[in-house]
Amino acid sequence: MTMPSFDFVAAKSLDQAAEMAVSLGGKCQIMAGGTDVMPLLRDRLIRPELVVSLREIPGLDKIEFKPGEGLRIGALATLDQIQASPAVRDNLPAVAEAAHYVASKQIRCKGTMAGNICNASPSADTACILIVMGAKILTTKREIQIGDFFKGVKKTCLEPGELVREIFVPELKSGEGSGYLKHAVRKAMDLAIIGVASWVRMDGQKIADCRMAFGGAGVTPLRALQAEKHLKGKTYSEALLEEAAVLAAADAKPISDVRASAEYRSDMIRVYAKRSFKRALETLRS
Amino acid sequence: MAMSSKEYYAEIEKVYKKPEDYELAGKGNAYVRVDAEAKVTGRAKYTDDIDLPGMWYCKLVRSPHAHARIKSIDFTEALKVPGVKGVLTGKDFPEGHNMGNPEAFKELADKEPICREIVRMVGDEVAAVCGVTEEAAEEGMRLVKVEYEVLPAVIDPFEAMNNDAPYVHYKNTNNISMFTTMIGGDPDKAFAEADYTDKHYYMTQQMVHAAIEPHGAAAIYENGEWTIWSTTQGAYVTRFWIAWGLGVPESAVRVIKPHMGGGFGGKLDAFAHELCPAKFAQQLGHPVKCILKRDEVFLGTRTRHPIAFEIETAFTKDGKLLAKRCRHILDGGAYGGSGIAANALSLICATFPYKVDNIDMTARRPYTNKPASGAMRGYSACQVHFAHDVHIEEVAESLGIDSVELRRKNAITPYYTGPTGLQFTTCDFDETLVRAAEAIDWAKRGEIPRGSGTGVGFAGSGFMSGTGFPVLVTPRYSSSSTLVRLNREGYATVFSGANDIGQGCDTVMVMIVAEELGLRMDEVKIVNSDTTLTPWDAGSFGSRVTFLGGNSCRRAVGDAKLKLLTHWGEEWGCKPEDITMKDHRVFVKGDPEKNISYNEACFGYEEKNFGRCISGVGSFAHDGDKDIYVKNRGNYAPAYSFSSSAARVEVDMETGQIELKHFVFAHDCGRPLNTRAVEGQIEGSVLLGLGFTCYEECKYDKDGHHLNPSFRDYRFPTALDMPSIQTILCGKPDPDGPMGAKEAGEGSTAPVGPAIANALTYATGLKFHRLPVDPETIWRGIRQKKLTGAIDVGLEGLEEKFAKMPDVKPFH
Repeated sequence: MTMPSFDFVAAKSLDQAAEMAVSLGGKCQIMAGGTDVMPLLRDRLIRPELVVSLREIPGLDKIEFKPGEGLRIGALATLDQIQASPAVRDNLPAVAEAAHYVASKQIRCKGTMAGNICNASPSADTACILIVMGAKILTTKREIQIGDFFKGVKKTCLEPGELVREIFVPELKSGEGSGYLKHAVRKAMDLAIIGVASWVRMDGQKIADCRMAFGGAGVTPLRALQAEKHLKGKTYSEALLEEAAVLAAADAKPISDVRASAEYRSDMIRVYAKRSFKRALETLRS
Repeated sequence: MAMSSKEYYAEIEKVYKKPEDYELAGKGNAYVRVDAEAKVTGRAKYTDDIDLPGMWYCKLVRSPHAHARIKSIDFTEALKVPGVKGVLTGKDFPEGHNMGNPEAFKELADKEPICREIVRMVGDEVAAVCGVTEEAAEEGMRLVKVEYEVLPAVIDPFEAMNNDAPYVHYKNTNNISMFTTMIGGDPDKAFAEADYTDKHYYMTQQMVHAAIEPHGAAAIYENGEWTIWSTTQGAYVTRFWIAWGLGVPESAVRVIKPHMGGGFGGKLDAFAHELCPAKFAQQLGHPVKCILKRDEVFLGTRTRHPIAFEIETAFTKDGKLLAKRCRHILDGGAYGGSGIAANALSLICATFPYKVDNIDMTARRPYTNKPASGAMRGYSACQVHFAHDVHIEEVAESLGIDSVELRRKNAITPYYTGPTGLQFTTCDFDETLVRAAEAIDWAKRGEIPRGSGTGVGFAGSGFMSGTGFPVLVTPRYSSSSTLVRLNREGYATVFSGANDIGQGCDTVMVMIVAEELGLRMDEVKIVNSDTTLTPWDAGSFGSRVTFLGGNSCRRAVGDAKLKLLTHWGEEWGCKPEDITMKDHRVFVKGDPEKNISYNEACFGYEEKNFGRCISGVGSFAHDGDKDIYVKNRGNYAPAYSFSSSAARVEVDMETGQIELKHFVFAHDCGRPLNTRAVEGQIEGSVLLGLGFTCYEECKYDKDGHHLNPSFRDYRFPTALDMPSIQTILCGKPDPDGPMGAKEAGEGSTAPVGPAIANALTYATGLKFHRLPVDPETIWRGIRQKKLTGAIDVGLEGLEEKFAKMPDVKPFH
């Protein structure tokens, strides 16, 4: 593998990294795990003069769960650490599962969840679950609602020099559950054809509240707003879910590419809307 | 009649160890691979690990067009890059010295080392750049400006055969690179008399080998001689073509094959990445290396032929196969090379594993402007057995006969001779059918409702146990020669030209020598795959290495053993064959007076012979002729292997997702010399067959651009996608195989696809005519069935395409 030449700095703090990013603008590339950046460099799809690594910044790899609040995932926590963390598995199993869906063990040991969302692939495995959980992204400048974060293919709302410090995921309260399911051809090392996440708050048999989001069927991960509206406030039944799933598919704007056709993606949104919602129901907190 | 090789070697074979005395051959886990430690510790040296002082790097400039005329090449900017030292174009190589594969058909060689005027596929080599670092070479490569006149390209093999199609190589040939016919018996009469006849269509896709190690080479030029380390499956054949491409004698080129990370047929041909570093090394006085990137492997090396099939068969009502007509259209891509054998192979494979005495078969291999098709593990057999055994399932259903029974009824039996002269010898196909059916619980398949999402499928196949064709023109059609030296310090050395590409043949050769001499395997040293140090071998292809190379090796050690034992027979007053070699000793059983160590035995021989050490030479020559590829009559291989396989699948009927739950593989490989290696081959075959059937396909846009030349988008199954696998080793030792062995490398791939496809048919209630059957294909089929009731999936107008094919005269 050959790399084009570039300067490399291991930043000592996020502020230092942010400063370099601001002063160099497009000539600077920020890198955490590097699993998305390195292939772009190799293929000359980006030609930065300076690559700034965040990996030596202390304190950014925490994974902390506080009862009554939620989960804080530092920008350098790797996907492997997240999926293996008892705090995540016990309290937010769907987040652990989404992290586990990404690529392979080797990639997960390097790649971070912050990097996964900053790369802003429409089919990013961790995006949908963060959306339905109502996650917040803490940056060097502000707090961003996850729903405002994605702006297009490989585009986020981050301003030049603005870096993600932490991802906050609210805890699941009693009667709440969530699930993320990915549809891919093979069981590992595969990009999602589509993925669907659901979050639900049940009140007995009634769906008190719910959120649903899908990836791989639009320029960003998207909320299935019609489906949510159809489900909210109603008594759960298979038939109701089937109707909602059809509405979710109607919200999807998939494209045809080498991995799957648009119509297949649409129908898989329908199928996985049902399955992820059921998964959420299976994991309701007592 | 001339003496046969068996007669020629008869005296040597008399001192071979008797099967009852084997301590290694066929003894399951008796030994480990000779290269295991080097590989698992990461110390094994592969081509990219060749790192010589002052080494420079070569990168190839490739065409972005599927078909174009090169108008000009401008190196100005490339040469300004610091560290760029040189460039090459097609004109740096002698004109007319095209690359091909078999020397016997050198006139069909059609690939220029670097294109001189016309590029014929995306990725065709247009120029080469040398730099002091790989980065410099790459920057230089990116700055070469090539001006093209884009020409109309032909991507579809049927369109390529049209009279008005743009031509890839030669005018007025309908783009057909090979046309092959195979006729035997009286098929017309058989069809007329049959109770049942049919006509079916199938199609397979373009697939790649996906060897984990990409292709590459390193070259040095010193004292008027090239040394080239290359990822080759055949060092001697590669040397022949490199020397030809450079326009120098073979004596000026040494080719060494280091450790290999897989070949699977993709590394048989000679390529620009070997010739360009060689040329640079001579011009610039530095060693030069060129290692391809993955996308270059996809575009610029070889693929598996996509084949379209029209199959007609005639049966009696009780299921006897009377006759077969078929037409095979093989998409050849832009070049020939090892691909020119595919036609004949596709027809040969269609004549087994079922007896068929009346045949009328043709195969056409049109050129298209896509990456060149070539050999791939289970060469032609994977595609042919997919189509022909899915077809058998359809016949069984039409006739109302259990498909395993139908296969048994028509199964080839020992020493059957096919209608065009294929001479089958040992054959336990029936045993594989019975045992695989038992293992998958075939009798209970009917209890699973059709179309329920669960299915069991079955298939049978055969393969040549050792392609006899030696590729180069050789004395007596010989395809392998081996040297063995006995050393009085207590070891032996085997000089083997066989090319271990990961399959483990170095271990086989060492084991054979150790077994015959009664040495431990670590007392046998191997010198391998180096045209200066080791004798001739045709290469790793056609499942020939164990059978042909192994026999050659055994004869070499037999020759040495005969010399040693003849000497001691004279000393001891007995016949050489009465002397046993075991546990590092040479002795006459039951006679303590005649019992010495191996070291003493060698010392004593040399004492008598003025220090002359003992060496042995062996060879293997198949009793055949290159005309098998021209006239399609005669015997292709010294033996044939047979296999049956059975698959249990589950299909998610909502998404089409496929889960291969369990796979049974029964293989008649004679005596398995190394049970673990055979099981490894079979497990690898299941992986390859699963990828072929459900996952893998090279996709192109209408202009011939490859849409998925990466392991991200070209998806083969991973370890997690693999089923549990039960291997059943069947058959009896083959009298002509080395220690009774037959092949297990390629034949094992052939029945995997049809077994899975037949299982998917049962599980879904659909009929799949085209590979791959991926989840979306199944999902479409299920929807189509719901909407229209139609169950055929993937026919893609094949009937019409075959009907509209223009007539062309057979040639080649």
